[in-house]
Amino acid sequence: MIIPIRCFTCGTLIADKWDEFKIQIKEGEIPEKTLDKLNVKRWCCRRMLVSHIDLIEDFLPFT
Amino acid sequence: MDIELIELFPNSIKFILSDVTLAFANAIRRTALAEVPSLTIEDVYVLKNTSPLFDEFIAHRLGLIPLKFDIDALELNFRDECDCGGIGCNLCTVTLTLSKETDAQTSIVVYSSDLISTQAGVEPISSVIPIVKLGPNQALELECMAQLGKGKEHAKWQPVSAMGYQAFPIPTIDKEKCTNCLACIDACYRGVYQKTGDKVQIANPLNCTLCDYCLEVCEPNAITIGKDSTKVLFSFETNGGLDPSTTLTKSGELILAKIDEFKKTLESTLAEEKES
Repeated sequence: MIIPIRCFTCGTLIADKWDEFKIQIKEGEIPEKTLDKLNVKRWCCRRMLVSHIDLIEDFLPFT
Repeated sequence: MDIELIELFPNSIKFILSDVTLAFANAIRRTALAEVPSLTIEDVYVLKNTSPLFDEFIAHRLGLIPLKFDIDALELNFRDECDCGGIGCNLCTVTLTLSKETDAQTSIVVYSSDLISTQAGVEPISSVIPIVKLGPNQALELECMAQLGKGKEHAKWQPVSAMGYQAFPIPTIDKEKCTNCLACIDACYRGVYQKTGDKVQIANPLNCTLCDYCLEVCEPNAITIGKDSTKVLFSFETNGGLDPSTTLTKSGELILAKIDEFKKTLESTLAEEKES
């Protein structure tokens, strides 16, 4: 739906990195390097950003 | 007891704690996780919500946003200990408001920076946390009540994440047995071993997580991984509301307060026993 505020596993704040992550991926950066740059260290937090699909965009026309 | 700092950042800390038992390190860990108070949004009054998300969904998201605050300067009470009796007053509650509207053409993202606090010094730690997205002709109007709480009540009040400690690792390579096959360098994902010249050496001993995988791949059995049981490697991150050193000091104070309480209760019980 929309990026979760915190990591499900460890509780670290991750939502604040979503916009920057999305911009860098669009520019063609490799996700691995972007996550390192954003200082997302653990793989529990990394999967939050890598596996997220922003479905709210698809929902908007129907609300 | 001795503390040797390895790294200290505004949001994370790593240090070696020596001459302590694991039980002591665990006491600090558990206190910091469950007892050190922090401030987050607890009650949300939804005045208007025509956004794509339900009221509860938005309230839950708001609750998880960590708030920046000064624990000593703010002097907030816990709500259930406050004179107001738990209704919520200026002494135990900080109010934040959010009001956002879109016209017929635009759609916008509502960010945490749109939350307006009534108390100086209290604000979301990051201004770019997306809360919800609003389509054309939609509106969101909220009033949020933030209060102090503890991690044992709800995880949103935990001031720290990834809080933990491990035994102090001492990896060693037996130079006589080592054949320099470099298998350990490939096996160790933490980069403990490194090739210097044409020999394998231990470059970052503190990175070792005691997973023992290098022992499996080392055919001549040249590697041994020892543990120093008098030392622990302690590390954690904070969610930004409190800095790492304040979190540690606070948990120390809380442990002392508990011991004081125990002492007083014990003394009064013994005194009663003597009288009767």
